[in-house]
Amino acid sequence: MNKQQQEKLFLEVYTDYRLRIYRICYGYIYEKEQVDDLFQEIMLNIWNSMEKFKGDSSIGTWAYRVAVNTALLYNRKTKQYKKVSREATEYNTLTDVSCPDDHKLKETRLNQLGLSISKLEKQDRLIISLILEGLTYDQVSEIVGIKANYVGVKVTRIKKQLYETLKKYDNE
Amino acid sequence: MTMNELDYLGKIWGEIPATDSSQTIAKLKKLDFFQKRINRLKVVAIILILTSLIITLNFLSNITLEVYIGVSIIIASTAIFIGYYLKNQFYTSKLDYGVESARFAHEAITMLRRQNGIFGLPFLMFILFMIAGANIMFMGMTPDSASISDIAMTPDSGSGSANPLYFHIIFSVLIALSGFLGLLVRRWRIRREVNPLIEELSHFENEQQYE
Repeated sequence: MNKQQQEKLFLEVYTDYRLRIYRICYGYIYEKEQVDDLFQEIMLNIWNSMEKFKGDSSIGTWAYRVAVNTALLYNRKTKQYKKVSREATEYNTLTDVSCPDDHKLKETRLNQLGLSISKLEKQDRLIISLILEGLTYDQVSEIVGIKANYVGVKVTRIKKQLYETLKKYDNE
Repeated sequence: MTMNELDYLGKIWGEIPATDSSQTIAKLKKLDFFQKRINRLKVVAIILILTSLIITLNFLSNITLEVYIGVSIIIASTAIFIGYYLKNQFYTSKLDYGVESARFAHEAITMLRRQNGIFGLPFLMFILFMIAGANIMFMGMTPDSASISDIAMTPDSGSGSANPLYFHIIFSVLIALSGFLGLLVRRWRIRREVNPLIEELSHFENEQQYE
């Protein structure tokens, strides 16, 4: 693959998938500064791995795989091997502070969702983020490399955990 | 909160804004070029250091055969160990990020374990060869020592090596101690950085069922 083809393919991935990949980063880490850092690292790996793309899967599936695999190794790079703080209570500012109340409510709910997802195990965070992106169980299965029916089992379990965590916010 | 609200949250999930960088491609190209240039510079630097060492030795007087043999053993064992180390070191760039995650985790674990293995028998062999090379070199460097070639040419001279034994012992112990300390530091880093990652990737790998 020459440089021009690489650039063209990268632009295609960047244009079509960057928002989705960013949201996966958000679901995985939640802390704003590290989300941007992880996102940049994923883009770098996509760029560097372009030559290895053989077309045996769709470019979207391939890009998601790169994103998930980069996230799996991400903590190593920060040299602080720690889980995302389970005590994180600071909310990320996702929307403009001057927006109407219904947007504020949405932002609050999104932050609660982000916090709840951050309390899951690493691989569960990645799987639920892919599901929230609208991917089917078969697509997630293709990305992660597990059977589709097992994806279903995991998603059911994850949703129950999220439901329990989000209920606590309702009761506060 | 109901389970239906989870579906609602899934809908608003799509409203999370993303960082927009129009300079991403330019930055990536620059970084790619920079990384390759650094690697080339490292190789050139190592070649220059080794070449200058050999040239320096050639210019020194009273260099005996033992010194050449000792230095050759040191350089060869260093080169072999560094080559082995670089070949087995864990580089994220060696991984194929485009494969399924379960397979990716498996390959990453294999590479990490291979890297840990460098500091077992290969490192011990490296230290032993360094000690051997240093001792042979010192045999040719102390003032009263006779060169092997001198003894070979005058078999009846009766002169033998008068290297003080403590000299060899001290340097052997120093080399062994340096190796041991380096190993301690490396093992500490492995316990702190590498093993937790292997554990987590193993957990991920075991949780999945391969297709």
